[in-house]
Amino acid sequence: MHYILRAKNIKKAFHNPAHVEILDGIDLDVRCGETVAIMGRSGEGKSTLLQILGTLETPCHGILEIDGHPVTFLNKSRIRNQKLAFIFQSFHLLDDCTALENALMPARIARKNISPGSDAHNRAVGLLKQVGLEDRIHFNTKLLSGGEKQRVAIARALCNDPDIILADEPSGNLDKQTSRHIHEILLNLANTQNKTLIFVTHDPELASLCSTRYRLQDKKLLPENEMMKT
Amino acid sequence: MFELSIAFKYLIPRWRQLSVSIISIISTLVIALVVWLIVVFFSVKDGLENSWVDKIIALTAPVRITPTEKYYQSYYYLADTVSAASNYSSKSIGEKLAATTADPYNPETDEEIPRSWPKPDRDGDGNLKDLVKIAVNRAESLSYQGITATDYETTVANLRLRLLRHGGAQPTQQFLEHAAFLGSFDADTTGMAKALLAPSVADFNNLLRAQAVSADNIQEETPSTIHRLDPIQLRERWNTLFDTLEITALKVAGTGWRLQIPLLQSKATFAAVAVFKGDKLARIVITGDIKDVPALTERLNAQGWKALPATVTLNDPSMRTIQIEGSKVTELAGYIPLEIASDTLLYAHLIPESLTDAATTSDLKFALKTTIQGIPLAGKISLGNLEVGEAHLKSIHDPISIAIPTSDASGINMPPAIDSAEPILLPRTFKESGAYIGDQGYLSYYSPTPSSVQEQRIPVYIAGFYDPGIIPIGGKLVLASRELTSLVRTSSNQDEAHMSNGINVRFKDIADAGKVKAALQKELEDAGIASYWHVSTYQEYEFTKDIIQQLQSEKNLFSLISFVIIIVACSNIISMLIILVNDKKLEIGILRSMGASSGSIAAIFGICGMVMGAFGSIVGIAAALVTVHYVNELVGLISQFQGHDLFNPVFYGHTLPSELSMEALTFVIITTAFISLLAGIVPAFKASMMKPSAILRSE
Repeated sequence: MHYILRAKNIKKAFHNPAHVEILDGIDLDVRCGETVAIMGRSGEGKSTLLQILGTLETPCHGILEIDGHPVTFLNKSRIRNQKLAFIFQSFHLLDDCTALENALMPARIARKNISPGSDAHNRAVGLLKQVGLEDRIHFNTKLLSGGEKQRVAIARALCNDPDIILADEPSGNLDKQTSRHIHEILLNLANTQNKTLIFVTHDPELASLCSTRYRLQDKKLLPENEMMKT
Repeated sequence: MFELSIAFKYLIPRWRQLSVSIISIISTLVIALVVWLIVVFFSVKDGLENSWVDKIIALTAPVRITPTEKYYQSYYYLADTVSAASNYSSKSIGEKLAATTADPYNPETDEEIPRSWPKPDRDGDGNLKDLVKIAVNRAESLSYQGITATDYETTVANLRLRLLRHGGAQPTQQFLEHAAFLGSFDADTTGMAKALLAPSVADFNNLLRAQAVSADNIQEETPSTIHRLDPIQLRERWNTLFDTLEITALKVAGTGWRLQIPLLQSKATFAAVAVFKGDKLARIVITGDIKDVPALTERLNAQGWKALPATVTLNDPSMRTIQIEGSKVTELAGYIPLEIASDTLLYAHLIPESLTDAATTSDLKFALKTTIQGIPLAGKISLGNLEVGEAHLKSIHDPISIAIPTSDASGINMPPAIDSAEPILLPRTFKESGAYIGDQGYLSYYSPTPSSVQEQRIPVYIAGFYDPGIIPIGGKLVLASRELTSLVRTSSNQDEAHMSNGINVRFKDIADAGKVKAALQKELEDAGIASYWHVSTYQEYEFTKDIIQQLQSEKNLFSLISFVIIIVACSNIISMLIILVNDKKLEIGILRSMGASSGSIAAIFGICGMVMGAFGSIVGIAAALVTVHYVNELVGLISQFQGHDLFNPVFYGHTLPSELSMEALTFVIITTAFISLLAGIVPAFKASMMKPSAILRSE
């Protein structure tokens, strides 16, 4: 079986100033095309785990493998640019840029040709259309609603055609109806484009839509069905 | 490049980031201001220095070859003193250059050579090495554009000038006496043409009158009489003078000028000033312009006259009326002189035919065609007590036919001797002490004879003035022909004649001076005569060394100061960038999460710093270009506000150089780029070290 992402015995502690252990021996195997939900109470370290999986944070112990290669031997910036994408609770779009410029930013960082008519440009426009923002392409992101901003963020995440999308409470700041719409788009895209999705969420509704569910509890990651047993 | 696009996005000022925008605009402006200041300052300073150096070189040469002590003790130099062929006297370098043979000594007829003398320095063929000719030939054989080698001499003499002035009824004379250095110069150099001052109207005036005075008694210490030339000679001189000098206007002198009624073409009414002696009308003064009436009235009143503004109407000789302010029109009774006020310009041309039988200045006739208060005046007038008001040298002229040197691109042409008086050029200080072109005088020096010391006097006349620049002896350096200098030098004290002659080596580009010196030294060594000659560049001359070193150390000092100022100006960039980094923290986190490397983040802020530095310098340089171009107008404006000249013309000349200094430009561009890059490093490093996980978690 091919695992797109494997985490083995991940441990993380902060010194702030007292020693606080957040994660203690996390193991996670994610197959290509899988949708994973990680649930848990606030402050359990869900976001930290997601950042470790997304190479933004370095674990104190343990190994993270992406596409079969341990990330310690790879250029992390390159991995984040090519293989991974983040979707944040508060969208984190760039100010003073249009929706299209935001969606093109990963391609720009990858130093691809982004002039109108180029592959990257066409792809970004196509993605914005796919998320239903045809008429918002040249809007400054400041003028967009929360749901629209998150849809721009989704288009941006897919810009460089990554393998894995890491979403941290993607609908945390949105109302129920909008949330559903966002979930629908995300899962739909994952399905049609064969992307691996890893969610960190409180939302049981979103979790129920995922193929695999975990719960982060007492610094450990437990599969939802196991947890049910105990 | 994505770093560039992000950096430019950050640099565009936005209302939402008002503090960052204001700080960045101010830092850019400060850099621009500093760049402007430095470029303008250095451009003007470099320009001044270059013109000073140009003048130093105009009077000397970029490279000089001077004889060493060994030369003066050599057989080559001493042989002349025992040779009948050389009249038993040593020769100057100029004379050696002109001599037909290197060794004038004839063992058969001349006395025996003293044993103490060094052995003759002979070449392979046994001929005496001609030290001077070899040196000159070797110098001229160097492959630098326009290279020439000529000998020069300097000596000391006493200059006494007679300043004959024709202002009043009787000419007055004053004397100006000066101990002076006397130097030969090469007329055919462009530098000399630059240093020569253009003759003024006062010079032309003096020249016109001085032509009438003979120099034959000028050698008297205090000539008691003014020897006038006989009319034939005078006419000859005036003919040559007016061949080249064109007078376009005459000027009424301080004594005023009587208006001749026939010059009026028709009935005329003038605004004038009526001057009374007691209650009686004494004279009427007509001003050149109606506006000048009140000022003249006031001035005459202040001088103790009773003066009132008036209107004169001149109908024809029989009908003249005057209306004095506050009274009725009355007829002018009796003979009341009508005068034109002093300093009024009268446009007129010389009538060449009047030269044919002119004997005095009054015989010079001019065709008047001018207007006074808008009323035309025309007719024939005599020069009389009028002065030259406007004149210029005709563009096409025979250079030797006038007592003024003429300059062109290839140098200057000196006028010939007049009445055996030699032409000399004086530094501008003489002009400021009241001497004019055409003034005569003599140069005196003491010549030792076996029994006594005799004073010798050589008549001279001032042919022109030159600007000596900042040579310490410049105010005293009288320039004369090589023959004259040589005569004075060789006849005065022989012991002091040492070290005062040599060879001037000139070439086109003075920046080559160092290279020419090195090449020349090598040539002299090859010829085996290096020990007889000392080669020095203009930076090393005894009288320029100090000033050039001073200029150099000033330059270094100012460069250091500018460097510090640029650092201070660019340090604003650091604070501005640190604020920017804090402002853009979240974006840094987002960009990192999308795969921007820490190097890219550092580059973004580094570029921001560089662009600000570059933009500041471009604005500053543009402003400097404009300022330097209009520097003289600007200085004039400031001088007007200040009430006196901002820069003393004695040191700086009448116009400041208005050429951008390439050296300053390069210095400023490199320094600003380098320091703004340095200033960007700290904030850029800070930005690149930010942990994206921490930034994104805290949101």
